[in-house]
Amino acid sequence: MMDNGNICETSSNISNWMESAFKYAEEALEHGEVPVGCVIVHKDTKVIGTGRNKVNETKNATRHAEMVAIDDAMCNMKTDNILEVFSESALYVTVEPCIMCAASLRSIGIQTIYYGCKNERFGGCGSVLHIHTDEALTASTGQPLQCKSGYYSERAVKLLKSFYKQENPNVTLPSVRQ
Amino acid sequence: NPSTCIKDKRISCVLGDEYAANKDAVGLVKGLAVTLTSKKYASQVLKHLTEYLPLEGLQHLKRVRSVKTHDGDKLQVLMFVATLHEDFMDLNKTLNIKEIKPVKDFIMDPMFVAIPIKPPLTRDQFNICKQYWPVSFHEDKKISKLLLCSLFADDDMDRIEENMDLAIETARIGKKFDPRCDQGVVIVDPATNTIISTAFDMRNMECEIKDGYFARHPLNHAVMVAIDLVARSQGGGTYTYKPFLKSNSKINDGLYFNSTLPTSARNTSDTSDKGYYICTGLDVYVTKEPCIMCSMALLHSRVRCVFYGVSRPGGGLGSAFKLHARKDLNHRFEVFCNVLKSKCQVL
Ligand SMILES: [Zn+2]
Ligand SMILES: [Zn+2]
Repeated sequence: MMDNGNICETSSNISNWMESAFKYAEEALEHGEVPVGCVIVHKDTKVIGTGRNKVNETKNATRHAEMVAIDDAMCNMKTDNILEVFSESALYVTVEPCIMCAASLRSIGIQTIYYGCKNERFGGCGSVLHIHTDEALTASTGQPLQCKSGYYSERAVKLLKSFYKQENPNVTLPSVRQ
Repeated sequence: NPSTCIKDKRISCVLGDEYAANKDAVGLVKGLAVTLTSKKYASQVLKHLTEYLPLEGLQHLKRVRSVKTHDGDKLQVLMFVATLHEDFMDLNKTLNIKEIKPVKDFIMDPMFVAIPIKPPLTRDQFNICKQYWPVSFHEDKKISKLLLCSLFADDDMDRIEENMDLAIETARIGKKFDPRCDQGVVIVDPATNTIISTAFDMRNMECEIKDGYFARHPLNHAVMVAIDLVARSQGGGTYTYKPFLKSNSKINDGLYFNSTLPTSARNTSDTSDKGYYICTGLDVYVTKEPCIMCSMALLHSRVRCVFYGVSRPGGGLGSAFKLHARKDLNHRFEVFCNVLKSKCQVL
Protein backbone atom coordinates (compact mmCIF):
# COMPACT_ATOMS: atom_id res chain seq x y z
CA MET A 1 0.00 0.00 0.00
CA MET A 2 2.74 2.44 0.91
CA ASP A 3 6.22 2.61 -0.45
CA ASN A 4 7.77 3.29 2.89
CA GLY A 5 8.28 0.59 5.48
CA ASN A 6 8.27 2.74 8.60
CA ILE A 7 4.66 3.89 8.35
CA CYS A 8 2.36 1.93 10.61
CA GLU A 9 -0.81 3.91 9.86
CA THR A 10 -3.22 1.46 8.25
CA SER A 11 -6.27 3.49 7.28
CA SER A 12 -6.97 2.53 3.69
CA ASN A 13 -8.47 6.00 3.29
CA ILE A 14 -5.04 7.62 3.53
CA SER A 15 -3.89 5.95 0.35
CA ASN A 16 -7.09 7.00 -1.41
CA TRP A 17 -6.68 10.63 -0.37
CA MET A 18 -2.99 10.60 -1.27
CA GLU A 19 -3.90 9.12 -4.64
CA SER A 20 -6.12 12.09 -5.41
CA ALA A 21 -3.43 14.51 -4.21
CA PHE A 22 -1.13 12.95 -6.81
CA LYS A 23 -3.75 13.56 -9.49
CA TYR A 24 -3.40 17.30 -8.84
CA ALA A 25 0.39 17.11 -8.72
CA GLU A 26 0.35 15.48 -12.15
CA GLU A 27 -2.01 18.16 -13.40
CA ALA A 28 0.49 20.78 -12.19
CA LEU A 29 3.25 19.09 -14.16
CA GLU A 30 1.10 19.12 -17.31
CA HIS A 31 0.69 22.87 -16.84
CA GLY A 32 4.40 23.51 -16.41
CA GLU A 33 4.15 24.11 -12.67
CA VAL A 34 6.21 22.53 -9.89
CA PRO A 35 4.32 19.23 -9.45
CA VAL A 36 2.81 19.46 -5.98
CA GLY A 37 -0.83 18.61 -5.36
CA CYS A 38 -3.10 18.34 -2.34
CA VAL A 39 -6.61 17.69 -1.10
CA ILE A 40 -8.37 18.83 2.06
CA VAL A 41 -10.59 16.12 3.53
CA HIS A 42 -13.36 16.80 6.04
CA LYS A 43 -13.86 14.19 8.78
CA ASP A 44 -12.06 11.57 6.72
CA THR A 45 -15.11 11.29 4.48
CA LYS A 46 -15.30 14.08 1.94
CA VAL A 47 -12.85 16.09 -0.18
CA ILE A 48 -13.79 19.74 0.37
CA GLY A 49 -10.89 21.40 -1.41
CA THR A 50 -8.21 20.55 -3.96
CA GLY A 51 -5.17 22.41 -5.20
CA ARG A 52 -2.03 22.34 -7.26
CA ASN A 53 0.75 24.87 -7.73
CA LYS A 54 -0.29 27.92 -9.74
CA VAL A 55 2.82 30.06 -9.38
CA ASN A 56 3.42 30.60 -13.09
CA GLU A 57 -0.21 30.90 -14.01
CA THR A 58 -0.80 33.69 -11.47
CA LYS A 59 2.73 35.16 -11.61
CA ASN A 60 2.55 34.95 -7.82
CA ALA A 61 5.27 32.94 -6.07
CA THR A 62 2.97 32.25 -3.11
CA ARG A 63 0.32 30.29 -5.01
CA HIS A 64 1.34 26.90 -3.71
CA ALA A 65 -1.01 23.90 -3.86
CA GLU A 66 -1.97 24.31 -0.18
CA MET A 67 -2.95 27.97 -0.56
CA VAL A 68 -5.01 27.15 -3.66
CA ALA A 69 -6.76 24.28 -1.83
CA ILE A 70 -7.64 26.50 1.15
CA ASP A 71 -9.43 28.92 -1.21
CA ASP A 72 -11.16 26.04 -2.96
CA ALA A 73 -12.43 24.67 0.36
CA MET A 74 -13.73 28.11 1.35
CA CYS A 75 -15.63 28.45 -1.92
CA ASN A 76 -17.06 24.95 -1.74
CA MET A 77 -18.17 25.14 1.89
CA LYS A 78 -19.49 28.71 1.81
CA THR A 79 -19.79 28.83 5.58
CA ASP A 80 -19.33 31.66 8.05
CA ASN A 81 -17.35 29.32 10.27
CA ILE A 82 -14.69 27.98 7.95
CA LEU A 83 -12.19 27.67 10.82
CA GLU A 84 -14.43 25.08 12.48
CA VAL A 85 -14.48 23.10 9.23
CA PHE A 86 -10.68 23.29 8.97
CA SER A 87 -10.31 22.08 12.56
CA GLU A 88 -12.14 18.89 11.51
CA SER A 89 -10.14 18.46 8.32
CA ALA A 90 -6.87 16.90 7.22
CA LEU A 91 -4.60 17.96 4.38
CA TYR A 92 -3.01 15.36 2.11
CA VAL A 93 -0.13 16.78 0.10
CA THR A 94 2.50 15.13 -2.08
CA VAL A 95 5.43 17.22 -0.75
CA GLU A 96 6.14 18.57 2.75
CA PRO A 97 4.58 22.05 3.10
CA CYS A 98 7.06 24.93 2.89
CA ILE A 99 7.62 27.36 5.76
CA MET A 100 4.94 29.70 4.42
CA CYS A 101 2.32 27.00 3.95
CA ALA A 102 3.14 25.34 7.28
CA ALA A 103 2.52 28.68 9.01
CA SER A 104 -0.71 29.29 7.12
CA LEU A 105 -2.04 25.77 7.76
CA ARG A 106 -1.21 26.04 11.46
CA SER A 107 -2.86 29.44 11.69
CA ILE A 108 -6.14 28.21 10.19
CA GLY A 109 -6.05 25.20 12.52
CA ILE A 110 -5.95 22.25 10.12
CA GLN A 111 -6.18 19.06 12.20
CA THR A 112 -3.50 16.87 10.58
CA ILE A 113 -1.17 16.96 7.60
CA TYR A 114 -0.16 13.85 5.70
CA TYR A 115 2.65 14.39 3.23
CA GLY A 116 4.81 12.46 0.80
CA CYS A 117 8.44 13.45 0.39
CA LYS A 118 10.54 15.90 2.36
CA ASN A 119 11.10 19.43 1.09
CA GLU A 120 14.80 19.93 1.76
CA ARG A 121 14.84 23.46 0.33
CA PHE A 122 11.90 25.10 2.13
CA GLY A 123 10.26 22.49 4.36
CA GLY A 124 8.45 23.99 7.33
CA CYS A 125 7.41 20.67 8.92
CA GLY A 126 10.84 19.49 10.00
CA SER A 127 13.24 19.72 7.05
CA VAL A 128 14.41 23.34 7.38
CA LEU A 129 12.28 24.55 10.31
CA HIS A 130 9.72 23.07 12.69
CA ILE A 131 7.00 25.63 12.10
CA HIS A 132 4.34 22.96 12.69
CA THR A 133 5.36 22.25 16.31
CA ASP A 134 7.47 25.21 17.51
CA GLU A 135 6.13 25.99 21.01
CA ALA A 136 7.21 29.62 20.76
CA LEU A 137 4.71 30.20 17.95
CA THR A 138 1.58 29.07 19.79
CA ALA A 139 0.49 32.59 20.79
CA SER A 140 1.01 34.02 17.30
CA THR A 141 0.31 31.09 14.99
CA GLY A 142 -2.00 28.77 16.95
CA GLN A 143 -1.83 25.26 18.37
CA PRO A 144 0.85 22.87 17.07
CA LEU A 145 0.02 21.03 13.88
CA GLN A 146 0.14 17.23 13.63
CA CYS A 147 2.23 15.99 10.70
CA LYS A 148 2.69 12.49 9.32
CA SER A 149 5.17 11.90 6.56
CA GLY A 150 6.52 9.35 4.14
CA TYR A 151 3.42 8.48 2.11
CA TYR A 152 4.50 7.54 -1.41
CA SER A 153 7.59 9.71 -1.03
CA GLU A 154 9.45 8.05 -3.90
CA ARG A 155 6.57 8.73 -6.24
CA ALA A 156 6.52 12.39 -5.18
CA VAL A 157 10.27 12.73 -5.71
CA LYS A 158 10.02 11.09 -9.11
CA LEU A 159 7.44 13.68 -10.14
CA LEU A 160 9.62 16.56 -8.93
CA LYS A 161 12.62 15.09 -10.71
CA SER A 162 10.77 14.88 -13.99
CA PHE A 163 9.90 18.56 -13.64
CA TYR A 164 13.36 19.80 -12.72
CA LYS A 165 15.06 17.61 -15.30
CA GLN A 166 13.25 19.37 -18.12
CA GLU A 167 14.14 22.72 -16.55
CA ASN A 168 17.70 22.24 -15.48
CA PRO A 169 19.52 18.91 -15.43
CA ASN A 170 21.97 20.11 -12.76
CA VAL A 171 19.47 21.16 -10.14
CA THR A 172 19.77 19.63 -6.66
CA LEU A 173 16.88 17.33 -5.96
CA PRO A 174 15.02 16.66 -2.76
CA SER A 175 15.80 13.27 -1.30
CA VAL A 176 13.51 10.61 0.14
CA ARG A 177 15.52 10.50 3.33
CA GLN A 178 13.35 10.00 6.41
CA ASN B 1 28.21 64.03 13.53
CA PRO B 2 24.65 65.01 14.43
CA SER B 3 23.04 63.58 11.28
CA THR B 4 24.38 60.13 12.11
CA CYS B 5 22.91 60.40 15.58
CA ILE B 6 19.48 61.19 14.16
CA LYS B 7 19.75 58.29 11.74
CA ASP B 8 20.64 55.96 14.58
CA LYS B 9 17.22 56.64 16.01
CA ARG B 10 15.46 56.56 12.65
CA ILE B 11 16.31 53.03 11.57
CA SER B 12 18.10 49.84 12.62
CA CYS B 13 19.34 46.88 10.65
CA VAL B 14 18.18 43.33 11.44
CA LEU B 15 21.27 41.21 10.85
CA GLY B 16 21.60 37.44 11.15
CA ASP B 17 22.60 35.92 14.49
CA GLU B 18 26.14 35.35 13.19
CA TYR B 19 26.70 39.12 13.57
CA ALA B 20 25.56 39.28 17.19
CA ALA B 21 28.01 40.81 19.66
CA ASN B 22 28.21 37.85 22.01
CA LYS B 23 30.32 34.79 22.83
CA ASP B 24 27.98 32.41 20.98
CA ALA B 25 28.57 34.19 17.69
CA VAL B 26 32.37 33.86 17.88
CA GLY B 27 32.16 30.27 19.19
CA LEU B 28 34.73 29.41 21.84
CA VAL B 29 36.59 26.08 21.64
CA LYS B 30 39.42 24.56 23.63
CA GLY B 31 42.97 25.24 22.56
CA LEU B 32 46.32 24.15 23.96
CA ALA B 33 49.06 26.76 24.40
CA VAL B 34 52.65 26.56 25.61
CA THR B 35 55.09 29.18 26.85
CA LEU B 36 58.42 29.73 25.11
CA THR B 37 61.41 29.30 27.39
CA SER B 38 62.88 32.36 25.70
CA LYS B 39 61.58 34.89 23.20
CA LYS B 40 64.59 34.25 21.00
CA TYR B 41 63.16 30.90 19.88
CA ALA B 42 59.97 32.45 18.58
CA SER B 43 60.77 32.49 14.87
CA GLN B 44 62.22 29.00 14.95
CA VAL B 45 59.18 27.53 16.74
CA LEU B 46 56.69 29.39 14.54
CA LYS B 47 58.42 28.26 11.36
CA HIS B 48 58.20 24.69 12.56
CA LEU B 49 54.54 24.95 13.54
CA THR B 50 53.55 26.60 10.28
CA GLU B 51 55.06 23.70 8.42
CA TYR B 52 54.08 20.73 10.60
CA LEU B 53 51.01 21.86 12.53
CA PRO B 54 49.27 24.53 10.43
CA LEU B 55 45.95 25.92 11.68
CA GLU B 56 44.16 25.19 8.47
CA GLY B 57 40.99 27.20 7.93
CA LEU B 58 41.66 29.28 11.03
CA GLN B 59 43.63 32.06 9.41
CA HIS B 60 42.10 34.63 11.75
CA LEU B 61 44.00 33.17 14.75
CA LYS B 62 47.35 34.67 15.69
CA ARG B 63 49.78 31.99 16.74
CA VAL B 64 51.58 33.96 19.46
CA ARG B 65 50.62 36.29 22.28
CA SER B 66 52.65 37.91 24.99
CA VAL B 67 51.77 37.17 28.60
CA LYS B 68 52.95 38.58 31.88
CA THR B 69 54.36 36.01 34.27
CA HIS B 70 56.11 36.25 37.63
CA ASP B 71 59.21 35.70 35.52
CA GLY B 72 58.58 38.76 33.34
CA ASP B 73 57.02 39.04 29.87
CA LYS B 74 56.89 35.77 28.00
CA LEU B 75 55.55 34.58 24.64
CA GLN B 76 52.78 32.06 24.58
CA VAL B 77 52.21 29.96 21.45
CA LEU B 78 48.98 28.30 20.33
CA MET B 79 49.88 24.69 19.55
CA PHE B 80 46.59 22.91 18.99
CA VAL B 81 42.91 23.71 18.53
CA ALA B 82 40.36 21.09 19.58
CA THR B 83 38.45 21.17 16.30
CA LEU B 84 41.62 20.42 14.30
CA HIS B 85 43.76 18.37 16.68
CA GLU B 86 41.33 16.37 18.75
CA ASP B 87 43.96 13.71 19.55
CA PHE B 88 46.55 16.15 20.86
CA MET B 89 44.47 17.77 23.58
CA ASP B 90 46.36 16.18 26.45
CA LEU B 91 48.48 18.34 28.71
CA ASN B 92 50.81 15.48 29.71
CA LYS B 93 51.36 13.65 26.47
CA THR B 94 51.25 16.50 24.04
CA LEU B 95 54.89 17.59 24.33
CA ASN B 96 56.06 14.13 23.36
CA ILE B 97 54.34 13.76 20.01
CA LYS B 98 56.65 13.53 17.05
CA GLU B 99 55.51 16.81 15.43
CA ILE B 100 56.70 18.65 18.55
CA LYS B 101 59.97 16.86 19.29
CA PRO B 102 62.23 19.18 17.21
CA VAL B 103 61.08 22.24 19.24
CA LYS B 104 60.40 20.49 22.53
CA ASP B 105 63.33 22.06 24.35
CA PHE B 106 62.08 25.61 23.64
CA ILE B 107 58.63 25.20 25.17
CA MET B 108 57.13 24.65 28.61
CA ASP B 109 53.97 24.99 30.73
CA PRO B 110 51.28 23.54 28.47
CA MET B 111 47.86 24.93 29.36
CA PHE B 112 44.34 25.07 28.00
CA VAL B 113 43.06 28.34 26.53
CA ALA B 114 39.71 29.43 25.01
CA ILE B 115 39.94 30.05 21.27
CA PRO B 116 37.36 32.01 19.20
CA ILE B 117 36.77 29.57 16.37
CA LYS B 118 34.94 31.93 13.99
CA PRO B 119 36.61 34.98 12.44
CA PRO B 120 35.11 38.20 13.87
CA LEU B 121 32.57 39.76 11.48
CA THR B 122 32.19 43.04 13.34
CA ARG B 123 34.33 45.32 15.46
CA ASP B 124 32.35 44.33 18.57
CA GLN B 125 33.04 40.66 17.86
CA PHE B 126 36.71 41.52 17.33
CA ASN B 127 36.80 43.07 20.80
CA ILE B 128 35.16 39.98 22.30
CA CYS B 129 37.63 37.64 20.55
CA LYS B 130 40.62 39.62 21.80
CA GLN B 131 39.65 38.95 25.40
CA TYR B 132 40.37 35.26 24.74
CA TRP B 133 43.05 35.05 22.08
CA PRO B 134 44.50 37.57 19.58
CA VAL B 135 42.87 37.42 16.15
CA SER B 136 43.01 39.46 12.99
CA PHE B 137 39.95 41.38 11.76
CA HIS B 138 39.09 42.28 8.19
CA GLU B 139 36.40 44.88 8.35
CA ASP B 140 33.45 44.51 5.97
CA LYS B 141 32.66 48.15 5.23
CA LYS B 142 29.07 47.46 4.29
CA ILE B 143 28.35 45.52 7.49
CA SER B 144 29.93 48.29 9.57
CA LYS B 145 27.72 50.83 7.86
CA LEU B 146 24.65 48.65 8.43
CA LEU B 147 25.51 48.34 12.10
CA LEU B 148 25.99 52.06 12.45
CA CYS B 149 22.93 52.64 10.25
CA SER B 150 24.93 55.07 8.19
CA LEU B 151 24.26 53.19 4.97
CA PHE B 152 21.60 55.67 3.94
CA ALA B 153 22.21 59.28 3.08
CA ASP B 154 19.76 61.86 4.40
CA ASP B 155 17.72 61.98 1.21
CA ASP B 156 17.57 58.15 1.14
CA MET B 157 16.18 58.28 4.68
CA ASP B 158 13.61 60.87 3.68
CA ARG B 159 12.46 58.66 0.82
CA ILE B 160 12.30 55.61 3.13
CA GLU B 161 10.15 57.52 5.61
CA GLU B 162 7.92 58.85 2.85
CA ASN B 163 7.22 55.31 1.71
CA MET B 164 6.57 54.18 5.29
CA ASP B 165 4.24 57.13 5.74
CA LEU B 166 2.25 55.84 2.80
CA ALA B 167 2.15 52.36 4.41
CA ILE B 168 0.80 53.97 7.61
CA GLU B 169 -1.77 55.93 5.61
CA THR B 170 -2.75 52.69 3.85
CA ALA B 171 -3.31 50.95 7.21
CA ARG B 172 -5.47 53.90 8.31
CA ILE B 173 -7.64 53.54 5.21
CA GLY B 174 -8.04 49.86 6.10
CA LYS B 175 -9.05 50.88 9.63
CA LYS B 176 -12.03 52.73 8.20
CA PHE B 177 -13.36 49.41 6.89
CA ASP B 178 -12.47 47.47 10.02
CA PRO B 179 -10.99 48.90 13.22
CA ARG B 180 -8.91 45.75 13.77
CA CYS B 181 -6.82 46.53 10.68
CA ASP B 182 -3.36 47.51 11.91
CA GLN B 183 -1.13 46.61 9.01
CA GLY B 184 -0.32 48.55 5.85
CA VAL B 185 2.12 47.60 3.09
CA VAL B 186 3.72 49.47 0.21
CA ILE B 187 5.84 47.75 -2.46
CA VAL B 188 8.21 49.99 -4.36
CA ASP B 189 10.61 49.66 -7.26
CA PRO B 190 13.66 51.45 -5.84
CA ALA B 191 15.28 51.82 -9.26
CA THR B 192 12.63 54.36 -10.25
CA ASN B 193 10.99 54.99 -6.86
CA THR B 194 7.70 53.83 -8.41
CA ILE B 195 4.93 52.47 -6.18
CA ILE B 196 3.94 49.03 -7.52
CA SER B 197 1.24 48.14 -4.99
CA THR B 198 -0.30 49.10 -1.66
CA ALA B 199 -2.47 46.95 0.62
CA PHE B 200 -3.95 46.72 4.11
CA ASP B 201 -4.85 43.75 6.30
CA MET B 202 -8.12 42.32 4.90
CA ARG B 203 -8.66 39.36 7.24
CA ASN B 204 -11.79 40.90 8.70
CA MET B 205 -13.24 42.25 5.46
CA GLU B 206 -15.58 40.38 3.18
CA CYS B 207 -14.15 40.36 -0.30
CA GLU B 208 -14.43 38.20 -3.37
CA ILE B 209 -12.59 34.89 -3.08
CA LYS B 210 -13.67 33.40 -6.40
CA ASP B 211 -16.55 33.62 -8.88
CA GLY B 212 -18.83 35.88 -6.87
CA TYR B 213 -18.25 34.19 -3.52
CA PHE B 214 -17.46 36.77 -0.86
CA ALA B 215 -15.95 35.92 2.52
CA ARG B 216 -13.43 36.96 5.14
CA HIS B 217 -10.23 35.23 4.17
CA PRO B 218 -8.09 34.34 7.21
CA LEU B 219 -4.92 34.50 5.10
CA ASN B 220 -5.52 37.90 3.51
CA HIS B 221 -2.71 39.51 5.48
CA ALA B 222 -1.59 42.85 4.08
CA VAL B 223 1.69 41.42 2.74
CA MET B 224 -0.08 38.58 0.89
CA VAL B 225 -2.49 41.06 -0.69
CA ALA B 226 0.33 43.40 -1.69
CA ILE B 227 2.29 40.56 -3.33
CA ASP B 228 -0.80 39.46 -5.26
CA LEU B 229 -1.31 43.02 -6.43
CA VAL B 230 2.28 43.14 -7.72
CA ALA B 231 1.40 40.00 -9.71
CA ARG B 232 -1.70 41.81 -10.93
CA SER B 233 0.45 44.71 -12.13
CA GLN B 234 2.27 42.19 -14.33
CA GLY B 235 -0.89 40.68 -15.79
CA GLY B 236 -1.24 37.94 -13.17
CA GLY B 237 -2.78 37.85 -9.70
CA THR B 238 -5.35 35.64 -8.00
CA TYR B 239 -8.08 37.79 -6.47
CA THR B 240 -10.29 40.66 -7.60
CA TYR B 241 -10.45 42.09 -4.03
CA LYS B 242 -13.95 43.33 -4.87
CA PRO B 243 -15.44 45.56 -3.55
CA PHE B 244 -12.30 47.14 -2.05
CA LEU B 245 -10.15 47.41 -5.15
CA LYS B 246 -11.40 50.05 -7.55
CA SER B 247 -10.99 49.50 -11.26
CA ASN B 248 -8.96 52.67 -11.57
CA SER B 249 -7.31 52.58 -8.20
CA LYS B 250 -5.01 55.39 -7.12
CA ILE B 251 -2.12 55.26 -4.71
CA ASN B 252 -4.10 56.85 -1.86
CA ASP B 253 -7.03 54.44 -2.15
CA GLY B 254 -5.51 51.86 0.20
CA LEU B 255 -5.60 48.95 -2.23
CA TYR B 256 -3.64 49.83 -5.33
CA PHE B 257 -1.67 48.23 -8.10
CA ASN B 258 0.27 50.04 -10.76
CA SER B 259 -1.49 49.30 -14.04
CA THR B 260 0.77 51.44 -16.17
CA LEU B 261 3.75 49.10 -16.14
CA PRO B 262 4.47 47.22 -19.33
CA THR B 263 4.53 43.52 -18.42
CA SER B 264 7.94 43.23 -19.97
CA ALA B 265 9.30 46.13 -17.95
CA ARG B 266 10.89 43.96 -15.34
CA ASN B 267 12.76 40.74 -15.73
CA THR B 268 10.82 38.71 -13.22
CA SER B 269 11.10 35.14 -14.40
CA ASP B 270 14.35 33.42 -13.74
CA THR B 271 14.79 30.82 -16.42
CA SER B 272 17.36 28.80 -14.50
CA ASP B 273 14.66 27.58 -12.12
CA LYS B 274 11.25 28.03 -13.64
CA GLY B 275 9.00 30.17 -11.52
CA TYR B 276 7.86 33.71 -11.11
CA TYR B 277 9.82 35.78 -8.66
CA ILE B 278 7.64 38.76 -9.17
CA CYS B 279 9.24 40.96 -6.52
CA THR B 280 12.86 40.58 -7.65
CA GLY B 281 14.56 43.89 -6.91
CA LEU B 282 11.57 45.41 -5.10
CA ASP B 283 11.51 47.02 -1.64
CA VAL B 284 8.70 46.40 0.84
CA TYR B 285 7.47 48.82 3.52
CA VAL B 286 5.31 47.28 6.20
CA THR B 287 4.07 48.92 9.40
CA LYS B 288 4.48 45.80 11.61
CA GLU B 289 6.99 42.97 11.30
CA PRO B 290 5.53 40.31 8.96
CA CYS B 291 4.40 36.98 10.45
CA ILE B 292 6.15 33.73 9.44
CA MET B 293 3.79 33.10 6.52
CA CYS B 294 4.23 36.61 5.14
CA SER B 295 8.00 36.62 5.72
CA MET B 296 8.37 33.40 3.76
CA ALA B 297 6.03 34.75 1.07
CA LEU B 298 8.40 37.72 0.67
CA LEU B 299 11.35 35.32 0.46
CA HIS B 300 9.58 33.20 -2.18
CA SER B 301 8.91 36.42 -4.11
CA ARG B 302 12.61 37.37 -3.89
CA VAL B 303 12.24 40.90 -2.55
CA ARG B 304 15.34 43.07 -2.29
CA CYS B 305 14.75 44.74 1.05
CA VAL B 306 12.09 45.01 3.77
CA PHE B 307 11.54 48.02 6.06
CA TYR B 308 9.21 47.67 9.01
CA GLY B 309 8.05 49.87 11.86
CA VAL B 310 7.51 47.72 14.94
CA SER B 311 8.51 44.20 15.91
CA ARG B 312 5.96 41.65 17.03
CA PRO B 313 6.01 38.30 18.84
CA GLY B 314 6.14 35.47 16.33
CA GLY B 315 7.53 37.74 13.59
CA GLY B 316 9.65 36.15 10.86
CA LEU B 317 12.16 38.94 10.21
CA GLY B 318 13.86 39.41 13.56
CA SER B 319 11.60 38.25 16.40
CA ALA B 320 10.86 34.51 16.26
CA PHE B 321 13.03 33.92 13.18
CA LYS B 322 15.34 35.80 10.85
CA LEU B 323 14.22 34.09 7.65
CA HIS B 324 15.92 36.76 5.52
CA ALA B 325 19.37 35.89 6.88
CA ARG B 326 19.37 32.09 6.72
CA LYS B 327 22.04 30.43 4.63
CA ASP B 328 19.91 27.29 4.24
CA LEU B 329 17.20 29.14 2.30
CA ASN B 330 17.77 30.09 -1.32
CA HIS B 331 17.29 33.85 -1.12
CA ARG B 332 18.53 36.45 1.32
CA PHE B 333 17.52 40.09 1.68
CA GLU B 334 18.17 43.05 3.93
CA VAL B 335 15.78 44.02 6.69
CA PHE B 336 15.54 47.30 8.59
CA CYS B 337 13.26 47.97 11.55
CA ASN B 338 12.15 50.92 13.70
CA VAL B 339 11.20 52.96 10.63
CA LEU B 340 8.73 55.61 11.96
CA LYS B 341 8.35 53.28 14.91
CA SER B 342 6.20 55.46 17.16
CA LYS B 343 3.77 56.25 14.34
CA CYS B 344 3.47 52.56 13.47
CA GLN B 345 3.02 51.61 17.11
CA VAL B 346 -0.19 53.56 17.56
CA LEU B 347 -1.95 52.01 14.56
ZN1 LIG C 1 4.26 26.34 0.29
ZN1 LIG D 1 1.20 37.71 7.84
